[in-house]
Amino acid sequence: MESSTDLTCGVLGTAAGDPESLQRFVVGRDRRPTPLDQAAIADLGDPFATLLLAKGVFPRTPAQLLDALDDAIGGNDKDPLAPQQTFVVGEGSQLELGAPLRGIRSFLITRGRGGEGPDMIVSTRGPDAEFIEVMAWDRTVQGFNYYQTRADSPWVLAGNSADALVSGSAGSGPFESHPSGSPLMKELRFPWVHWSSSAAKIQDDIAGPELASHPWFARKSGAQVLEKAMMAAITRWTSARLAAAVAADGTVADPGGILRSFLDTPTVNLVSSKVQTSNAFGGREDSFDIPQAFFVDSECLKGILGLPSPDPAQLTVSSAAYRQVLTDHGVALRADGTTIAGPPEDTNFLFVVPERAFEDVATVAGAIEMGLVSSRLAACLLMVDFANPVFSDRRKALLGRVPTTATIVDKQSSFSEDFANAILNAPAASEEGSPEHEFKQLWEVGDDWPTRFKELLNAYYAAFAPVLRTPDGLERAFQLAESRRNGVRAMPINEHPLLFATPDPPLTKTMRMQPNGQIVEG
Amino acid sequence: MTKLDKFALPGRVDDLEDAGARAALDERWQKFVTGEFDDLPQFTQFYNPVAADTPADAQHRPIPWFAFPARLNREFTSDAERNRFADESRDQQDEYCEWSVRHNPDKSIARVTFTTEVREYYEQLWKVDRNAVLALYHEHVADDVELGELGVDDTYNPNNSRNNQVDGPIMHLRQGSNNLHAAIVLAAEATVLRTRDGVRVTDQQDLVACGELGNRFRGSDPQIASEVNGLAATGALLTLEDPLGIYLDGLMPEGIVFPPGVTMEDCWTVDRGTPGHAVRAHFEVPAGKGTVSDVTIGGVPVTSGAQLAHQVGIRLGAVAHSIGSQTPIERECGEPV
Repeated sequence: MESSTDLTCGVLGTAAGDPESLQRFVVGRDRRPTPLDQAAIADLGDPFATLLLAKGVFPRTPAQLLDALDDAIGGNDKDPLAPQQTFVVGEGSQLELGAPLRGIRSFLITRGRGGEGPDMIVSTRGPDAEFIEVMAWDRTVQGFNYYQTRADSPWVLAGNSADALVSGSAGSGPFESHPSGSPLMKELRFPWVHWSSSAAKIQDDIAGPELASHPWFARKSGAQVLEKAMMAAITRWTSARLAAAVAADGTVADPGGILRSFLDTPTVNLVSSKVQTSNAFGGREDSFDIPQAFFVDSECLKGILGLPSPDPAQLTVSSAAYRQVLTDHGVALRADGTTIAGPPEDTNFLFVVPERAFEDVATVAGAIEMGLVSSRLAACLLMVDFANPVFSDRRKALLGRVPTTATIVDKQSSFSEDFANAILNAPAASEEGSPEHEFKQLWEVGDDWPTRFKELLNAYYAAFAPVLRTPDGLERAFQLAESRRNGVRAMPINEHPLLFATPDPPLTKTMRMQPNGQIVEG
Repeated sequence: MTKLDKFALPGRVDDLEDAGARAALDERWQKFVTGEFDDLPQFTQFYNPVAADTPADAQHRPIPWFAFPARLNREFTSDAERNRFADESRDQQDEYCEWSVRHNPDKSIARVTFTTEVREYYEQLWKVDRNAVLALYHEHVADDVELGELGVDDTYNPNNSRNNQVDGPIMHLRQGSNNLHAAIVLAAEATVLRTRDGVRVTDQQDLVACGELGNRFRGSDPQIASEVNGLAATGALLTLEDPLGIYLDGLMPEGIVFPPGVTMEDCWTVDRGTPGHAVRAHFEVPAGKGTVSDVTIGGVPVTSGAQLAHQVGIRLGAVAHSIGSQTPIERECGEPV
């Protein structure tokens, strides 16, 4: 095989050879798949490798894989790998009966439970599917090992979480969709739009009669359980990643990579209103909540830094007015050129928008905890363009100012001062309107930042709330949401046409929120 | 194909030593639960498992949710606020599970107790042996509880002051919606397929609103309604699992970090019920190894019982069989059966 120039996950499917074998193919680093011998397999420290692959077991279906795992642990229900939970996701799967193109997109099966989350995560379309993805925690090197197989192809080791952070393999292969190397659950938060959950269940008829009675479906757990498992797993990898980033002498490897979680949008989670579209448009909910993360990075600013979040009343908009906006834009659920529902129609829960991914929130919290970034610096960075919590070019511009070196000794580091000074000393810091100037103003507030930033946020919340109650304000909020959804549509995590409802014609304008609550183009 | 011999007591608890009293309690419980089923003949897919057969290959469907009141997710934008609110009043704890927090003098949390025990059991036990009820209060609430605080003559007061605390031990469910009657009626009513303008309603919140099946923003009501409704749509016969009750399904471990040397098993103790059918449990860090407040969940120290309630699973068991044998009842929204 020639060296691959295809850096997508799809290139992993080119692995060929004995299906009873394991090949390594870290896309972007390896030129081609390379068979691993027994010694190399024995070096892997995850349970999939140690319990199955190293013993010559190469299951061909997910059901075989899980059965083989049960055999490997001797049917011991006290074994840490014994607990199994199944979760189901399917875009559009909770909508009215009869709509085509709905269905189960994926089963996620976890093995192992505990404070650090599952040790193994299997992703597949069904018990007998030919395409299987496995993530398994490697206790030797830390991080998840990524595996996959298709049909009669060999199993492929596509890398470890750490490869997501290394030049070459970063952003390639599986790390297209897992940019920090963490497990992925896009719709992580209540009401977990698209997942079968306590808020909206995927009904038996979607699975079909055969699958509906299969234990994977019949005894599925809800996304409310998976949320906790994934957050624990993400935290596990983030902690390992940050611990490994600091050398024995305190040198921090790639501080820019860590600061990317503060300043960029490497990936996102999706969050929605807590109200179902059918209730809002059916006259049973006069109003609904726009997710607070649409307006502000509440996970970081409130959850980590203790700054205020909006009151629920400030997030509430008229269902009828929003329905009119969707009508005006011909918003419908569309797939493959077919209109499935609407216009007007929205996803099962209204107003799905991106928010800062939990893996980045965990990195922000971890960077503060380890002493690399002070709370003051974190607050000042996150308050730059705070009205645009994701896809902010203004915050991203500050990435170019991150010092290339940092050290931490006893949780003390000069990094925060160094980074602040790098921004303050840049010529742009004196240019009105530049991100550097905005940072400078925030930094110069000094130690009283909690009080001042609270005032700034409360003024912003008070400003946007009445704007949303005007037809033009709600129209612009929709345009802003579409602008951000377009950002997600361009990401590899956009795996299904029913991820979002779509307007006709599509909106292509880039919109941004201003601290005065006005939404403008640009 | 077998009929259930009799309804077991919730959690198969055994609070009476005297065989005669025990037989009297079993008889009372049988009469109470059978009466609940007998009041629901209009729901033709829902049957009394003592009166009709359940085949050995019937599907058992656990219906899970969490102890934390899901409707508070709508009403607050921060975890800290909604957790504090849920801890402050048992009336807010409406997911068929209630809890109370016992604090140490330094305000750290000593113990959080969770219960899914239904008041109906205590009402029946009181009628058979009120001293047995008093003994349970002495064992689980306080040793100075007096009989007169719990009820008068034949009438037990589930809302007595000893069972209505948020800071200190409690005995059983008391919130208005948290009772077995409500769960049985909800399951029965959920067998009716609901339509709006002829189109079947399937989404959970909408189904609950359309069928008037409780509070659509809870975790429990939509889960029970949706699961049962989905099974009913297959034309199955349906009932609830024996022992009929609401059960604690354990503590979800994900994200919980314990003090050094402490494990989940050290902290989570089932006080009442039998394996797989726990009805009362508490969370407490062993003496000398810290307090509950030294435990973190998602990186946040536990300062409220509600943080644990987010992790506590609750379960009702449905049973379905003879798929395709029944023609489901269909009604428009709000239309009675």
